[in-house]
Amino acid sequence: MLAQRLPGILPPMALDDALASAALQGLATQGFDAASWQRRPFRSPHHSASAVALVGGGSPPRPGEISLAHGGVLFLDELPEFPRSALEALREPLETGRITISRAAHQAQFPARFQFVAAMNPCPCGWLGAAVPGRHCRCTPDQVARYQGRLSGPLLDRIDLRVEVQAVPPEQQMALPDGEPSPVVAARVAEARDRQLRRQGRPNAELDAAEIDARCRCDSAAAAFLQNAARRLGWSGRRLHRTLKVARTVADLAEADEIGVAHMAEALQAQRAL
Amino acid sequence: MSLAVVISRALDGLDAPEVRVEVQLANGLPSFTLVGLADTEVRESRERVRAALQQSGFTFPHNRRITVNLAPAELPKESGRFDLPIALGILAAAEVFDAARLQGFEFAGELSLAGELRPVRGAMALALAMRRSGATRTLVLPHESAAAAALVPGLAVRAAGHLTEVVQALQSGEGETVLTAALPPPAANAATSDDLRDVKGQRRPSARSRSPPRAATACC
Repeated sequence: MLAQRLPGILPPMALDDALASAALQGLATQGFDAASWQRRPFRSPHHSASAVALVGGGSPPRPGEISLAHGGVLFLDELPEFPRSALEALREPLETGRITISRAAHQAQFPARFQFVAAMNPCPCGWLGAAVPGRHCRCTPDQVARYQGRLSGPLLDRIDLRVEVQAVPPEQQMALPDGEPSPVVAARVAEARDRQLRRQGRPNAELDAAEIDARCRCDSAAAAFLQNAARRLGWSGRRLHRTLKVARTVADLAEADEIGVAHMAEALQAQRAL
Repeated sequence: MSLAVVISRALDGLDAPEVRVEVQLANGLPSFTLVGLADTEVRESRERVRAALQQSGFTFPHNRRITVNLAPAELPKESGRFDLPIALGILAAAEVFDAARLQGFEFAGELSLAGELRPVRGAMALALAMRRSGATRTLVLPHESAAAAALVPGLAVRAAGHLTEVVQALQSGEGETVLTAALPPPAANAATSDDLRDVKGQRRPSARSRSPPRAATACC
């Protein structure tokens, strides 16, 4: 439900991105729908999708879901249910924003810069860690480990934010107030994105390793916090850099010039492993 | 012996390299041969083009040896997009209009047996490739394809509905003005997409309520 609402708060598409996205949609079977011009795509393939359907392929090479989601959102619901080969095929595009499809007679390169959103249950029965009375997880530790193990380390390493969504008890669900409307959130997002473009000419997600050091300055407390966590949790360089970029984004949303402890804490909170 | 060349484009991933459709009419046993690594759909062009030319009131050169080459030879060609260029090449080689009038144009479109133009896949990729190549030609496409291609700024795109429209424009020598200018599709209404307001229970400043804005800000 949250994932479907993500395109509604994303900043408007630049013309070049919109042209690339429309051209890619035009190559797919359904073709380009004029109603979707300059609207960020939202793709949510079923978990029976093969690796080729997801990243592209065939002869002649055609774009896959990741390219059809270029400039928009790729949502994979029930992530562990996807074939392992399909999930592992996502690794390079998540890192580079491109996919090169090689066949014996032909190679083709397609852009694939998308926002990856995935959803999953923590265990096969779905009730691990639930605080709902009367509901207990009935999986053995081995079952849980095997289920969570369907997502490889390198794939998880490329996911910037992990968020646990708790079940809401029914008596509370009816009484809850509405959330913030999308236009309000979208305005905040656009403002933070403008800060990034003014500061470095591109969004935080596109900063490379050299720029991260320059652009993601932390105050001493935040830096110490990050180093401590990275050492204790045995993080890879990629994990460290991605956490810095998330912290920089949190600071942008808070309109702060330097990354402080509160921003770093929020970024670290979102790195919790399964 | 007469030779005519029509410029078109093939799809190669997201790129659309130029294809020269060369049509030669020679004396000899009547035949209609198509070469150039053409896929099944392209080879079927011969039937569609023959019927479309006859239905549109043109004389098909039955008694000539027709050779169509889609250059470059090592680039795979697919779909019915070459129907229109092939038909125009045959008419130009048969001197129904001056082959020099084909200069400055690029054509693509599938033909129905009645001669109507049908949309092609990847029209926008064609337009983007033409823009990238810096060529200042006019792109002539079927109506729906032309509407998509017209979204690319800075290009001359013309739309046509029938083979005879294109031929008349080329015969008159004023192809630029005679064919209708392609118009981009009308702007869609403001998207009535899902609203975050429907997601309840997120007022607490928890990681959960902050992640959609964070993801939205950092991406793309």
